[in-house]
Amino acid sequence: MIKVRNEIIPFREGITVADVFREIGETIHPTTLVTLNGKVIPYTKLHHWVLSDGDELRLLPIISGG
Amino acid sequence: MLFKLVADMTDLTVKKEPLDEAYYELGGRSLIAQYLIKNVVPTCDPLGEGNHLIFCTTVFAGTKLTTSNRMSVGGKSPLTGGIKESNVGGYAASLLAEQGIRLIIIKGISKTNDLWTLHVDSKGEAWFKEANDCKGMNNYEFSEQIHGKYGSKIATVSIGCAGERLYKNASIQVSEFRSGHPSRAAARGGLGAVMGSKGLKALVIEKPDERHQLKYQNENQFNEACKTLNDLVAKGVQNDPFHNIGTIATIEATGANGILPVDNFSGKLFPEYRKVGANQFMENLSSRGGKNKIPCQPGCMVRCSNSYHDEDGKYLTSGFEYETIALFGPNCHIADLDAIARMDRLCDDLGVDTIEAANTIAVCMETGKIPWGDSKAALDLLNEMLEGTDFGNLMGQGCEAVGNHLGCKRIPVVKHQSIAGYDPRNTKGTGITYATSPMGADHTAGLTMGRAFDDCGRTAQAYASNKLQVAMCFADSMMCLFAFTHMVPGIPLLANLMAGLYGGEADFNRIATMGVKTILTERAFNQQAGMTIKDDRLPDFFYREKSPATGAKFDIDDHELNVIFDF
Ligand code: SF4
Repeated sequence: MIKVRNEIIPFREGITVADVFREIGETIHPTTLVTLNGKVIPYTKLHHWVLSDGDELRLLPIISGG
Repeated sequence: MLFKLVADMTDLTVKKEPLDEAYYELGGRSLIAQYLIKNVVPTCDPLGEGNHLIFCTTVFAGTKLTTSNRMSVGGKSPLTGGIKESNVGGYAASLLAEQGIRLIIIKGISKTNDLWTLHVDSKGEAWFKEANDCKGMNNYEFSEQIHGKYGSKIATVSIGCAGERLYKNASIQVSEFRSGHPSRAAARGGLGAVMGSKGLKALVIEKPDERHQLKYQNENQFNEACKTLNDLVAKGVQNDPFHNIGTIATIEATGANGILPVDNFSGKLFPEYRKVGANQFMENLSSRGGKNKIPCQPGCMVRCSNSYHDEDGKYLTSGFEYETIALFGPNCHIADLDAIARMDRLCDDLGVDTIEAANTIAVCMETGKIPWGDSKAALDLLNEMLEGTDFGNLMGQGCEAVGNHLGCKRIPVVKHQSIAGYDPRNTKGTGITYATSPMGADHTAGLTMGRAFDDCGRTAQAYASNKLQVAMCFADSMMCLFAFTHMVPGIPLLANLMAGLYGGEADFNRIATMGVKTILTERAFNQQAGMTIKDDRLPDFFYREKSPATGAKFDIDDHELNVIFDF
C-alpha cells in the first residue's frame, strides 16, 4: 500500500508518484512540495519516481514557508 | 480616487492627499521600492530624519481577491543598512483599504521626547494624539487598552519597548482580525526601531462610516478573473496543511533531510523534531481549547493562523509559525513546544523579530553563554531584552552584534540579518536567495526547496532562486504568499485583474515587469547605500563545513551569485 494524505492506494509493481497523483485527482505543479517518507522529492523527478510498498507521500503547497 | 497620508513627525502635521498617479499600479513591495528610491537618500542614517517609514496596502487591496489586504512596511533598515520591505497580515490593511488609503508616509522625527499615535478615524480624518502614557508599554497591553477604548472595529499597528529603545531587531506588530491580538509581525530588518526613532508608538485605524468604493475600468473582466483565482484557492486549501494544520506543518518537510536548522545551523539532524511538529501541535490545540484555521485578515480562505493555549488552557500566543518553532526549537536544541510558544509571546509583546532573536539565542548557546537545549535560560535571556539590561540591549542589536561580542565563529547572517529556518547547504537555491536578496537572509524572498533537481545539488539552483525571487516581488505586491501558491496554475489571470481594475492590456508582461523592476530597484538602492557584491555571500562556515546530515557544503560558485540578476 501507498499512504498519501489520509488515503491508502493499493501498491503495484512500478507505480509512480504521477500514478498516485492521478488516482487521488491531483495535478503535479511546481508549487507542490512532495515528501516521500519525510524527504523532499524534487519537482523535476516527480513524474517518474517509482514507489515501494509502504511508502508515505505528503503534499505541501509551499512557496514561502511561514 | 485613492489617497495617501503624509505625516510629518517634526511639526506633527498630517495631510490627506490624492495618491500619485504613478503609484496606482503599484502596491506592497513594488510600491515601497519605487517610493524609497525616489524619496530617501540611500546613505541616510536609518534612525535619522532623512529616513521615511512607509505603510502601504497591495495593488489589489479593497477588491474581492482573497488575502489582497496585506500590509507592507518599508524604509531603510537599521539592521541591514539597505532597503527593507516587511509584509504582514492582520486587520490594518483591510481597514486602510476601506478608508481608500493606499499609502502612509511617516517623515521626520519628533522634536521632543514625546510619543505619539497616528489615528485614522471613522470619518476618514487623520490626526496625531500624544501617547506619553504608553511609553514603555508592550504590544499586548497597548492593543488591549486601545481596543477597550475604541471597540473591536479598529486595528493597531504598534511597537513595544524594543522599538522605543531602537533595537535593531524591533518589529512592528499588527492586530489580528477579530481577536485583536497584536501577534502579526512586520518583523524583519528592525523597522520597529525606525518607528521608535520617529516618536511614533502606533497607528490606530478605525473602520470608516462609509466604505471607499474602488473604481474599476472593467469590473466584469476583473470579477471573472478574480472568481477563477479565488476558486483555485478554495479548491487548493482543502488539502493544504497550512490550512488544515498551520505553517508548523513545514517541519514535516524539513525535519528528516537536514533542511530544518539544528544547533545553530550545524547541518545535523534533530531526532526529536516531531516533538515540535504538527501532531504535537494539533494534540495541544485540541486538549487545551486552542484553535487553528483562523484568518488573520477578513476573507482569507487559507486561514493558516492559530490560537495556542498553555497547559492550563489559557491563551498564550497566536500566529505561532514554523520559523519561530524551527529556530527557537531544534536550532537551539529545544524540543518543548510550550516553551517555544512562551518565547513567541514574549517576542510579540516586546516587539522583536523571532527569527533574529532565536538566532541570537543559538549563538549564545554555541559560545557557551547558556547551555544547549536550556529553554529556561533562553527565556531568561529574552527577558533581559524586556528589562533592558546591558546584555539585553546588546541582544536588541541583533545576532551579529551578540556573536561578535561573544567571539562566535559561526554567525548565521547575511547583510547583517539572521538566516531563516532552512539550512542553505541542503536547499542551495534558498541559500542563493539568502545571499542575493536585497532584503538580506530572507526565506520569503524565494524558498526553492523541492524546485531544483536535488536540494543538496548545484544544478538549476540559481535558476530556481532567480525565478522565485522575481515572482515573490510581484506576489508580495498583491497578496499573501500562502494564497498565491494556490493561484499559480492561473497566474496569467493576474494580468486580467490589472486590466480590469486599472485599464490597459491584460498583458502578463505588466506583472513580470513589476517583479523585475522591483528587485533591480532594490539592488540599486543597496548599491547606493554602499553595499557591494561581497554582501551577496553566505557566512564562510557554510562553504567550509559539511552538513553531517547530507555531506553537502554550500558550493555555489561566486560567479553564479554575481550574475543572478543580469536579466
Ligand atoms: S494565509 Fe495566513 S498569513 Fe496569509 S492572510 Fe491568511 S491567515 Fe493571514
